[in-house]
Amino acid sequence: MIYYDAAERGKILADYKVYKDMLLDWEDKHLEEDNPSEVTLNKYTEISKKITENTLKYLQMTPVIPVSRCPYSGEVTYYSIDNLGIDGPWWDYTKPLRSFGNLPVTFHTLTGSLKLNGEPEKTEHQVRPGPEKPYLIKRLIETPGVKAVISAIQIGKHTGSMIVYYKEDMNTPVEPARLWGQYLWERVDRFGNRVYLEPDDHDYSYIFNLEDWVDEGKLLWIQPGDTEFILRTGVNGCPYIDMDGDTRFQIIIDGEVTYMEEEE
Amino acid sequence: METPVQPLEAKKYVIPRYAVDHLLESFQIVRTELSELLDIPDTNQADWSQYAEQWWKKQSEEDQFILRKIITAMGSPVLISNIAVAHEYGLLNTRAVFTSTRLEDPAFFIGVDDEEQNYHVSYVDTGNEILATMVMYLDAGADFGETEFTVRMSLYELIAFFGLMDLYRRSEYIAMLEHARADFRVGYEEIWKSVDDGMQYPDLRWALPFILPQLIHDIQPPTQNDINTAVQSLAQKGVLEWKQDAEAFALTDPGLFAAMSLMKTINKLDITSFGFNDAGKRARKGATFIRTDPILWTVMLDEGEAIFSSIKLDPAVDFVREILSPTIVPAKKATAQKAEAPQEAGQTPMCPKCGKPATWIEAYKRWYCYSCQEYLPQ
Repeated sequence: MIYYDAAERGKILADYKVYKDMLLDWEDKHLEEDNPSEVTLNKYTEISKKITENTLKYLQMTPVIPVSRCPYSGEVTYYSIDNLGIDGPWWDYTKPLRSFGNLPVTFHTLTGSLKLNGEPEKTEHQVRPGPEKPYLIKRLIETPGVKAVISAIQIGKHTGSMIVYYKEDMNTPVEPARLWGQYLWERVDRFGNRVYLEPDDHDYSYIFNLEDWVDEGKLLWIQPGDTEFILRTGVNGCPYIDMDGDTRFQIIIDGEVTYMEEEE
Repeated sequence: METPVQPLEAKKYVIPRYAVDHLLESFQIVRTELSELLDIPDTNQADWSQYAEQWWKKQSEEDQFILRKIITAMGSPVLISNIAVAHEYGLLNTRAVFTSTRLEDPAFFIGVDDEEQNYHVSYVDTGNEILATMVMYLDAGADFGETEFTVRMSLYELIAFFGLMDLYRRSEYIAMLEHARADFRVGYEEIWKSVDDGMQYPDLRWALPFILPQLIHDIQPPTQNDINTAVQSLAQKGVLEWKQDAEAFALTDPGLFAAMSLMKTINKLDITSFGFNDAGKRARKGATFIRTDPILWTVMLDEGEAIFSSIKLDPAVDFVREILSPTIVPAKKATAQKAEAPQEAGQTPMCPKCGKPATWIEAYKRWYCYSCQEYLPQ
């Protein structure tokens, strides 16, 4: 519940990097040692403790913000997201640091897209923020009893959109799909239990023409900047239809953008 | 229909009243106006903020998960149901808060302690558990008898009716204490006194004080003249009759049937829900049930009138479910909006919150404040 602050975040990220580098350095030097000295082991404990401290600080500091609203229950979806830039470990595709938000029980998954504004941040971790253009996963949106809601979000200087999928009935089987920017699908069920798995999404096909789905009422939308997160239907005035952008899925490492056309 | 009858299992939490306002702000909860019914003190000031943050940090991660949901519910309820149950062991007065329009989603009971320092909250995994508890009281493990006794009354007639029923019960008790035979004959004055007592003493063991909170939103307290007129009207409707020889009223057979039935009250249940209607405006709905052996009576309010009748369990359950189910506020059908063109250099709008210049986001044709991380209002 510490207020999110760019300067404080920058310090945490810098410390986090320092201690992670120290850990790598320690591993390079001592991991193979048969009988490391007590001083060496103590050093490892000290570095690990610092990393844990910074991890906790980062998790506590990452805000849980309103991002969407469920069309079935009317509840606002609050999601924990590092929206100050893709250089935070929230955006680490393989080892993301994320806390759980405050999700309606109807929440199924969250996907997103990101249009970079200028050069991306330099990161050691791999960032997969989706394509530039918002998209739907055909298999999910076609499932009866599933609706999606698209909303706008700024990630630092970049312009993002997120699509949250909701399912009406908790017993309806719906395929999992990776959460925005991470390799796992995970959620917390109504009893507080963490549920997660690695989805096999190789067969997925994606829909970039959102108009028909908005028209049909399967994809609802929220006006960018609407602080009440009122659900809207109909294609008139929908800013997410016909947005410009590349449909290739981006992979960003160390400020370099490449595209993933096969794996995604 | 099989109805689930099971005891309520809930996780219980205590939340300092003076922490809630700050937590709502810092969690960026999208608040609804119903929240004001929970009487959350306006304490979003530095000292209280520090107090709230300290309290929050003391909570375990597991508790924070549920507490965040509870605080969200306090800020953005879509339905608040005041529930009162009076039975022979005492009185249960509670308030159920729903954030979802679906009864199968989690819900909360919220109350304030006597010192008004803390909210006491029970979290239930599904609102259906609240319904099940109500069903338990309606069912009460007693048989269900049927009667065609149904009276449509004005609200003053309803007040006079329950004043009369309470008066009958009192006279029976007095007769028992005095080992005398009850002979129920009453005049205007006695009925008025019973009504006046019911209005002055909120002793919910009696029927009239129990039902009055349901009516106070719709009427002014009645005068003695109002009650006299209502008594005459009840006589015309066949609930009581004028006995010329005694110069007093006596109950008719149907009236006596209702009075004797109410003598065997097992419990009384009142549910009043505050929510929104289809148009998104504030609205209220509710009902009172009186479970006797073997009749379940209900008082339903309908366009300024009340219907007192018996009801079977299944329709009663459906009715309670409807009262506990918020109306779905439909999504807005959007109309075409003209996109704002970027303004000339030097005419960049300032953020109304922080006063810093906004940035034009071409993708959404909107101005954005990077400092506040918000789009500017249109």
